[in-house]
Amino acid sequence: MNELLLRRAQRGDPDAFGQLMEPMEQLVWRVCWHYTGDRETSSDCAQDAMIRIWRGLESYRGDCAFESWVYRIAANCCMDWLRKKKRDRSVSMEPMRDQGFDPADTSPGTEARVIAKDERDRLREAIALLPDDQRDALVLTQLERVSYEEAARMLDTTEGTVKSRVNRAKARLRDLLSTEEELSVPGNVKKSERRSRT
Amino acid sequence: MSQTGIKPELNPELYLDQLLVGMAEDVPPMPADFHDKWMNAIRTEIKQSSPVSQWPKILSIAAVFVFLIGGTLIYRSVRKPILPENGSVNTAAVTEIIETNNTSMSETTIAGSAMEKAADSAVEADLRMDTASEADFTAVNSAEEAPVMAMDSAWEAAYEAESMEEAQEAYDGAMEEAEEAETRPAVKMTAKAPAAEITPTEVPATEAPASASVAREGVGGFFADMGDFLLTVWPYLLIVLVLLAIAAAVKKFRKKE
Repeated sequence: MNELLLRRAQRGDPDAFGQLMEPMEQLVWRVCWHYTGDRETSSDCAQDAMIRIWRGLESYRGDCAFESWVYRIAANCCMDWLRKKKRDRSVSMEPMRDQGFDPADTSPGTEARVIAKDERDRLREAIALLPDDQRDALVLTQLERVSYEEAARMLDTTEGTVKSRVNRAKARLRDLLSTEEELSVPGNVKKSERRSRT
Repeated sequence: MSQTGIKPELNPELYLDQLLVGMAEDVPPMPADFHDKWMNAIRTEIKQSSPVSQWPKILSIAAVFVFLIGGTLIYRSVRKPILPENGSVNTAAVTEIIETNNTSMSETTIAGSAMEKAADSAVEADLRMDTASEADFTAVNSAEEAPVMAMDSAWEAAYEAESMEEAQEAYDGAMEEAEEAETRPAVKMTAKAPAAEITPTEVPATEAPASASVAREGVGGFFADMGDFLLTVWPYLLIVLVLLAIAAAVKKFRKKE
């Protein structure tokens, strides 16, 4: 991360912010995709995350790694979206079309794609139910393929802690996915309450 | 049957791993216009937020100007009565006037004390005059009563005398004495009281120095007044600034939390 660019961006220079965030666009985009599973929604969430990062840039004091801070904001944006989605569950075919599903399409493999989407949606919902620290470790190491060492640096913790969180997250996901009940994204549930549930 | 090909109930661990791998690989490419879209969103955000963020600054500067100019004008108007007609101010002159007034006041006080002392002396003299008048009055009465008393004494003596001759002699002697008493010059009121005069010490009126009339004119004078005004109100300003600093610190602390 370029400190000079960061300082300029913190003073309100949008071009400096553009240069600063360019290497992290992929991270923001992928995180949003993993959480939402929808191209359009991912784009909206990522854009919202960028605006939030811009607004909060002044308050960033370097207490944690910049990548970690960016990731946290993007993840929070996605969590907000998931809560909103839970509130107004409107049936839309757009996300399914993004996944390549067309109701009129009767070609072979269509059913398999729908099943795969269903499984991933279910996994996404299960991931959203995880505590923040476990979800961060899982998304970074298992979905973003970030090394444990790098993830530990980003999350400002040790490598062993990251591994431990990932294992606990996987165990929790297995439990959630094995249940036949519909998973529900937590609403405005406090972090401590969510932890106690686990 | 699932897309992963593994039944979750048979090997849930492997099923989850395969699901995660599939999810990680199945990420569509980032939209080409993503960078431009969010950059435009940022620029729009800046445009929308700029006027809002600028207003507090503009209003703060305006408030400072109103405070300084308005406060200075009020300060000048309050100080106007002790200034010359043209209303201009000279700090040094004003200070000198105040000092001169203080000196004149002390001299006037001394003169007043002298006048009080003179008045007290006059009252004492008046009392002395009254005493003298009473003494004169007593002397006059004594002179008038003396012949009568002498004749009475003579008659009493004659009455008591055994012979008429002695009585006649006593009578003659008393008559002579009475004549002498009548021819004695009349007692005059000689007591003189000193005139009670109040002679206050003349204190020369101290004139205001010429420098007092030196007026503060122009922009320089206004700024000098502004400096005086700030010197007058700085304790209050300090209190306000301290309160603002505390409020900002509390706000920052809450934001950080």
